[in-house]
Amino acid sequence: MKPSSSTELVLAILTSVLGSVLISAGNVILGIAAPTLPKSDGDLASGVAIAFLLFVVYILITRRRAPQEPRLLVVTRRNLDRGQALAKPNRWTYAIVAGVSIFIIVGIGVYSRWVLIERRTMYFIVDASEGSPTTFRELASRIKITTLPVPPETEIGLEAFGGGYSANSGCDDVVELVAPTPKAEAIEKISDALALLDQDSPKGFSGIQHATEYALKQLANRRDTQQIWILVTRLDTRCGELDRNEIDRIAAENNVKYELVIITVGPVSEADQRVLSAFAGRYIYAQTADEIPIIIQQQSRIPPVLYDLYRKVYGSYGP
Amino acid sequence: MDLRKQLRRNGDFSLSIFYALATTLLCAGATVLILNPIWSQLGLHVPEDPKTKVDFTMPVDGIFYVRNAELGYRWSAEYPQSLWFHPLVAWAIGVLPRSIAANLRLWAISLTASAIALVAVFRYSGPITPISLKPNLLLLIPLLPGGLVIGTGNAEIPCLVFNSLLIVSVILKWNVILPIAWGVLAILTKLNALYMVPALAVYCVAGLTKKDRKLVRNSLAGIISIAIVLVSWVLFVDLNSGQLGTYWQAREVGLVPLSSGPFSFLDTAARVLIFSDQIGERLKYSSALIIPLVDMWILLAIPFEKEEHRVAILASLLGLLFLTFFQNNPNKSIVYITTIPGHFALGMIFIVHCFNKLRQREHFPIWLMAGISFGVYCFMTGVFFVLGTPLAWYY
Repeated sequence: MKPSSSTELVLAILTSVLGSVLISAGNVILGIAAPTLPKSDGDLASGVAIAFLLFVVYILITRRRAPQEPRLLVVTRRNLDRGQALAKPNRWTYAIVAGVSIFIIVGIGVYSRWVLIERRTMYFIVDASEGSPTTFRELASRIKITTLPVPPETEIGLEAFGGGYSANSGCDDVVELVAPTPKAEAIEKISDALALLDQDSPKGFSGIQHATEYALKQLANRRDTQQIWILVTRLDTRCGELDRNEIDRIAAENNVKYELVIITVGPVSEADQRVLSAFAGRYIYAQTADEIPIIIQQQSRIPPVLYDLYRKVYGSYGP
Repeated sequence: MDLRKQLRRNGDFSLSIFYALATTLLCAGATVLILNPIWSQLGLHVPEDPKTKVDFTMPVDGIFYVRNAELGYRWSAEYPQSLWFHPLVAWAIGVLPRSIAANLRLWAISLTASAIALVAVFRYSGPITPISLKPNLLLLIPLLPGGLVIGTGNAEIPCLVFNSLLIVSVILKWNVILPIAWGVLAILTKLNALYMVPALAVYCVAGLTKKDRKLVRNSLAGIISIAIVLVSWVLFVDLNSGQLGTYWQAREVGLVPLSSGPFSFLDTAARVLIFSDQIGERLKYSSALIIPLVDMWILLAIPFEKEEHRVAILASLLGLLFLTFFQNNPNKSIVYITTIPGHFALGMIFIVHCFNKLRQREHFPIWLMAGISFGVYCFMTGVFFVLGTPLAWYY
């Protein structure tokens, strides 16, 4: 391989750094534009970047050098006096700087993409319907927002259905109590909302389908994944069968990217569990309301995109 | 030594003293007339104590040195802001006449150290590069990243004095007493003297390779002096507090547990850059990565007399980065890097080299772009320092 001047080697380094910057930027843009893309694609982009840059580092380390000859980068009195060759940068120095630069730039790019993926809104829908063995207040009070393992910028909302809080009745009895708000403010707002509600005896139907459709309309056009958490104690068939395709249609209509997480509390028949499991993106069964905080905490640690991948690999939802 | 060279060197040395003094005075004047009103307006205060205002004589950590001088050390891990800071600057404040306010004493010490540091950095820059450096380049140092700290009261520039003298005593193979002395004084000033250990190790290896006993001797002397005095100070702190481990316990307050993983700094940085709406936090994490990286890139582009000089500076920069990642703490990178003599040396050499390349029309577009980028980068870091000091952006 033809030996080159130090400037060419500097150019090689700059090229590699520019390459890593571009590929990391591409990674970040990919994360914004298509955040539900399986992680493997992002890994592939990063892998190609690292392979390319390692190749450049390999070239730097192994290329032959010309015998040292007197070359004066700058004509100065000192150089003329000495008339000897100046030290050229060692190839290992280039390799170390290239390696550190790659590590930092690609690392920031990769982590940025992951962090972007984690951005979401958490929207809680709580069952306040009649006949519910666990009251609305018992369910809502167990949503421990302060301990949620999500960034403080995560927005949190609260909706209730079947509790007679809205002007409607029956299956249409749904109301948003707290619009999506950053975590710190949401704690206070949810606490205030619960304090204002006069809930001694629940009334209304447990219309999960309508509550979800209502939530999607409230979350229309919001960016990032809308994680809809439904806390319910039973499957009420008075409001009709659950229709996931209809939910998907309404989500598309309202430009909402969403994930449905259903937690049932208390005794639920196996048949109902199967129906709810097929309807939800994630379905978790809690025997008592006391399990709710731990379940929400554990499930919160899994960002929506990972569950998307899990479903795509192991089976999709739907009847 | 060639008489002509000796005379030229003496002339340069005298001129460097002149320009160092001029730079220090100009910087001090700019600090009083320009920075001080800005910082007063923006409410420069003690870190984490917005109600207690301070001025340019003791910004950021300066107050803690003054407190240690006036009140003495509080020998307990419950007072990390006393134990974090090594004693030399506090002792120096205590030694000066008490009729002068303690903060002014700190400022006077810093300004004196600035003048000496500039001379030392110039003395260091000369032998490491074939490029002829004129002493008037010292006037540009305040424009380099972190350079504005010269006009304020701080402990970083005193540390730079001893770090620079230490590295000069090694590469010029002075009497072995001198690297020992500078190593001792450097580590007694600030823990940042540890950045010199990788550089000295490089010189030690270079000396072993070339069978240069004096180089090996002086570099080992520097490393050992730093290590022994650091251990002694740690034990001294522990003894006074009555509990072994007090020094490191106090240090742990500023650390994130390593169990978070060595890559957690990048994860945290990504989260801050994406989620945080505080510009100061974003700039803090960005600067902690960008400033050492830019120095490394400049390092590759400029000529050195010997490769070991380049690798030694690289080793110091890697040490800075390693500690940032290990501690998971990006605080004060812009001022900590000023304790590495190579940082200012690189800036000066790069400026001259860039101008030379442009004059020779060699790869003109690339060097023009590089020069302009460097200028913009220095300006942005200057703004970051000016605004970031009162607004606590970098600490």
